[in-house]
Amino acid sequence: MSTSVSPDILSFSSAADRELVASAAQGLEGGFEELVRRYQRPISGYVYRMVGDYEAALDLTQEIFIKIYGSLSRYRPEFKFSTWIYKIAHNAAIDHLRRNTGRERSLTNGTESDNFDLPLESEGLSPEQQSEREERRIEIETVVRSLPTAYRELVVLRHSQDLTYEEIVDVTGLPLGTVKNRLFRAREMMRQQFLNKGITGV
Amino acid sequence: MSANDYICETENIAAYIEGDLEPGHRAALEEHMKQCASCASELQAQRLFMCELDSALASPFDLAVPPNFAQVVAVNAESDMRGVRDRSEHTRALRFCIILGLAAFALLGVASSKAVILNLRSVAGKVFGVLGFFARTTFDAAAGFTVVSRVVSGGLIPDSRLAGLAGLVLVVLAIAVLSLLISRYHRTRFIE
Repeated sequence: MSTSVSPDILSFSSAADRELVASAAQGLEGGFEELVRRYQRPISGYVYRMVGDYEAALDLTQEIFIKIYGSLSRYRPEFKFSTWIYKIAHNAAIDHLRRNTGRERSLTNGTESDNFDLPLESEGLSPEQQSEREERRIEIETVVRSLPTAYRELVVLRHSQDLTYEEIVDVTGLPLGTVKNRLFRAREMMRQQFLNKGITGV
Repeated sequence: MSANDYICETENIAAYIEGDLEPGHRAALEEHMKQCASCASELQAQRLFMCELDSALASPFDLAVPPNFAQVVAVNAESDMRGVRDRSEHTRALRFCIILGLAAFALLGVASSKAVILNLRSVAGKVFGVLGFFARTTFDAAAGFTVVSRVVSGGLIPDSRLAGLAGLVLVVLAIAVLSLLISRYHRTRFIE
């Protein structure tokens, strides 16, 4: 099936983040939409892992992009755009968790079966690989969800969003030593939980 | 620090993986792990677990978003005016709104002036009619009271000044004698 794509969309899709930010800030149509398209999945994935609810994650992701659009004039090109939007997403997720104080510390209210309802996409894997990987992912997702927010956010930024330590420092505003220390403790907590469940090899 | 002095700590192994150890410590730990199976195993376990985390939490397992999500979000963001414009632009927009509002009122006023003026004249006529009626009634009442009071006072006030003065003196004397009698009465009653 072939779809017609306008030349504007093609030119935007090859543009760098900074060019898209500049065009969106000038009010050019399509620039911001391309930015959303580019970052919707990582941001929604990050937010989902922070708040633990698919619908809330989508709503919050939309809210984050609206905030980003409203703050485009304040973006300084010397900073990496992805780090800047993760910072906005991080603040929005923390605010959301504070508003819903019952979920402040961890997301253990949900059961493991909650993860089966999560709409995910996987490409290029055989059904067996997908099944095996999905099983492992669910185990790890469940353990990540049980972590306190202060640890969970760092694990997600480091291992899910693949941010460097320096970028995590910029996003969270924490000192580098604290980030590394908390990540180490978070990994130890998770390994201990796997051992408690009788899962070895961790 | 020698390899024998090295304390088996998982935190040191994590720092080794992250490349945070000083060269001396790093070399000592590497030497130590050649002899310590526990630390070597811990190193493998930590590396494996980090790979597991990366593999399980990273792409290609992304959260699925609705197909038109980017378009909807962009439209919502572009139509959301909160914080989009700076203050001077808000002030300018407010000024334009006020000017447009005043112009609209003026145009409406001109268009409907005839009807408005006719209605105003009719209302004013009725209001003035009611006020005139009250004024006339009040005036008539005051005039009647004046006539009655003149008639009554004409019977009481004497014609000559001398007779009037005598009457006044008599009234004063009567009041003085009456007060004297009253005070005497009270005094005798008190003595008794």
